Amino acid sequence: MTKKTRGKKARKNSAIFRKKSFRHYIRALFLALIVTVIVFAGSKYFLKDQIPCANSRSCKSDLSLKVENGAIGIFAGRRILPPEINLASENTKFSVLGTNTPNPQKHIYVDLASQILYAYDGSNKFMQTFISSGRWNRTPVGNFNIWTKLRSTRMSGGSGNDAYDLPNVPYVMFYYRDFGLHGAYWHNNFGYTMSHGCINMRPIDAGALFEWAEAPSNSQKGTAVSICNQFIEPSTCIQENPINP
Amino acid sequence: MTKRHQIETSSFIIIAIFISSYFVWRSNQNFQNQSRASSPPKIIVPSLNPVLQIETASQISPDGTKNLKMKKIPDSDGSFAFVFTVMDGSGANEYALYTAKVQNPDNLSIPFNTWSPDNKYLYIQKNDNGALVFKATGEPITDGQNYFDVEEIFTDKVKNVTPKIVTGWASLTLLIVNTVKEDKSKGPSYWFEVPSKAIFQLSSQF
Repeated sequence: MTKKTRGKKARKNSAIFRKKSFRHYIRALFLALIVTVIVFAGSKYFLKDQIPCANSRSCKSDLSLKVENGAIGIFAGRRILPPEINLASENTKFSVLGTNTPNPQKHIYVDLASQILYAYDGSNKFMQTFISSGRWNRTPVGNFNIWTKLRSTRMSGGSGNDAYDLPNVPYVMFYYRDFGLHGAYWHNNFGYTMSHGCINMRPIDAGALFEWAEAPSNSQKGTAVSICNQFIEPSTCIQENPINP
Repeated sequence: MTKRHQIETSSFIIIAIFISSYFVWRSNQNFQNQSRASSPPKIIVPSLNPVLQIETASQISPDGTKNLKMKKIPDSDGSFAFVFTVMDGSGANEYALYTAKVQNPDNLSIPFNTWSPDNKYLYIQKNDNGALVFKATGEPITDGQNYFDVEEIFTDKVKNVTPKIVTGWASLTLLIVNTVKEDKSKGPSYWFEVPSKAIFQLSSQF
């Protein structure tokens, strides 16, 4: 092989190498871009700020009717005997499915700033009372509908000094996952945050609201529930970063 | 009787008649003056608040089975008489819990969270930052008294902060006390356990 021929081959190889290198570089860049986009999108999806359950232990397992008369509850490190519930004597009093003619005008507003709940039927105010929203977990802001009503259930969660296990939680109206409006027999500090994300009410108020509000039936949604950072009567609900705008 | 005695007796009688006549005349003068003073038609000026108003308030227990009622009765000296009674949610079985006479500007009131969750205790708010704690039955709760003042006990046991408000019940026997520091900034919150009167500082503020 002459020097001339070698020189030609070397130039040819060099050109091919440059050509491959350039393509390779473009491909690598393209792949890197795709991987970046996938990783970014995946991270955004999987690592987004998840709203934790209101009741970390009973979150998914105990969203059902439970009456456990005589069971001992725990709250704030203290043992507590829940009030007994006699479903047999109440069957005629409370309608779990709501009234026969659902009323789309019913709307429950919760003002987190003032810790006050308002219940409106159209322009008529049915109730205004103090509540306790999330202290240990935040209460998510947004617009929801009651998805089920339970006369009683068990709620448990927290850890350490904040652990709680409460049977016979009365008049539960879940509106978003395990976030609900319900009676609280274990404290009386309404008007101040005191819950793990739910809306605590006095049992007497929760009972009246439970009877008035409606669970979904047929094609009708349950009573609307708006959790507001601030509420201005009669229907202005100010929400910052609602989870379902 | 001598003539001299007769003259003296007659003189005494005449003097007595003159004196009594003078008093009769004066009394008639007074009566006439009074009659003249009252003779013009009396003008009755209507008062804006002719009757002292009695204020009432009540707070039902969280489960609706008990009710605490307050009557605030103003007195003519500017003070107020407070009468607190407890009854069933239906209004039956009413009994007296506490009565007190309070000088202005001190005040007593029933807060929203007055009842303990199990209705065994209740507290009455004294001014803005005090709380008088009772057994709901009205039985003595301490040293033969049927109430104690949270603010007094708190001030004795905890230094550098003063109670700002008792917000309510964290559990069956725990009152939540918010405080202010000496520089008037927000202080820590405390639990006040009613049976033992023990005080626990909390890590978070209410």
